[in-house]
Amino acid sequence: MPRSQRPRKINRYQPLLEAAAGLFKRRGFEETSIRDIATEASMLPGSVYYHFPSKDELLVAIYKIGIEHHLKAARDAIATSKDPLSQLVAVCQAHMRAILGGSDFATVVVRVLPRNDTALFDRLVALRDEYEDIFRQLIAALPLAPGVNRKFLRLTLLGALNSAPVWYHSGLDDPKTIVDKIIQRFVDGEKRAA
Amino acid sequence: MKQQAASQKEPQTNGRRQELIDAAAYLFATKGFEATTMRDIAAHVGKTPGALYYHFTSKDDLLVAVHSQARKWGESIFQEVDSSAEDPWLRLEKICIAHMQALLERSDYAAVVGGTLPEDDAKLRRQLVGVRDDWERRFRELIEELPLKTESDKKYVRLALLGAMNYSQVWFRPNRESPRAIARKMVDLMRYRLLD
Repeated sequence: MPRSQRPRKINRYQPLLEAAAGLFKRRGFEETSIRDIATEASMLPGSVYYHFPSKDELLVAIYKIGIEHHLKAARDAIATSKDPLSQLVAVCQAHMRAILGGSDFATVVVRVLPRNDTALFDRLVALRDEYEDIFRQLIAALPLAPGVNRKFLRLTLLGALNSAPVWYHSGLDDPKTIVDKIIQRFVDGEKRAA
Repeated sequence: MKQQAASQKEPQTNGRRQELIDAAAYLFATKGFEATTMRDIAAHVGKTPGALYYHFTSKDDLLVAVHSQARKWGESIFQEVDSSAEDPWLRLEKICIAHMQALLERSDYAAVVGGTLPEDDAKLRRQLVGVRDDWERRFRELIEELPLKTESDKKYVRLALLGAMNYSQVWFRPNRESPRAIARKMVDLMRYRLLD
């Protein structure tokens, strides 16, 4: 975001976004009111509206930060290897770290997608698309067995990971190992009959 | 006496009860549990709040009823799969097809069961987590039968598959692939070798 577009009261802007991201993540978007967010950020509801005309705009702003977080983590991960499969593993590991406690903003991106507002839905999906393109490109570079559908591989892999905030618990392996094992399972499968 | 009267008009009462649970599922899914009031649910089916309280003592009660309904559907599907003797991967495929159909064709219920649970009521939370756990336990039993090398493989096939299926609600568009086709492709990904 160009500096000139940033709101002036930047000192209240960031805590407000953090409060909203935390509530959206823990409680859900529909379940959270502007009043809840104001209370969490120790502000008056009117002050929230000073920064954001609506809860939708707050969510879009949180998404943009979350996507930036994901993009940076993914680019760093890709730089660690030249092999497409290792790069995919590294990107998935960075993704899991981010959504399992690394950043509330990054978690909101994968857990909050209001289904009953088409205009908002389309804006959020467009933001996600830039990030998911990284997965498209990495999967496009894999030497896949015949019969493997690239789109379904991406949707299945991302779906499995993005559900982790729901199914993850401390009795499991650490996030990095989980990604290793899930992808290894994909790799180790039976040979498909011709 | 009261019970006798209730049993005589049972079909009608059950129909009304079901209508109320459906309305609650729809509103919880679209508006959120916290933001939905008993008044909203009554209004949605053109009833007074008093008529709603005849069937349910609280909004928590309704939330538990939505979860229980989802569990009942799940159990009938599992019974069907249990009675078929087939290759374990095919049994898993069957259950996944049923899961996807429930998820995408009864999406209000799925959104409530799979969504964020109320965080500030530990007792209620435990009841709801119980419903989700039952589903997962049955899945685990089916996955246990798969010819996979390690327990860890089984655990992560289960979590990845359930996670991927549940997440399909985000990207699913009717008129493209059917829930059945999606379930099959996902099970294939778990089963067959990825790389050439």
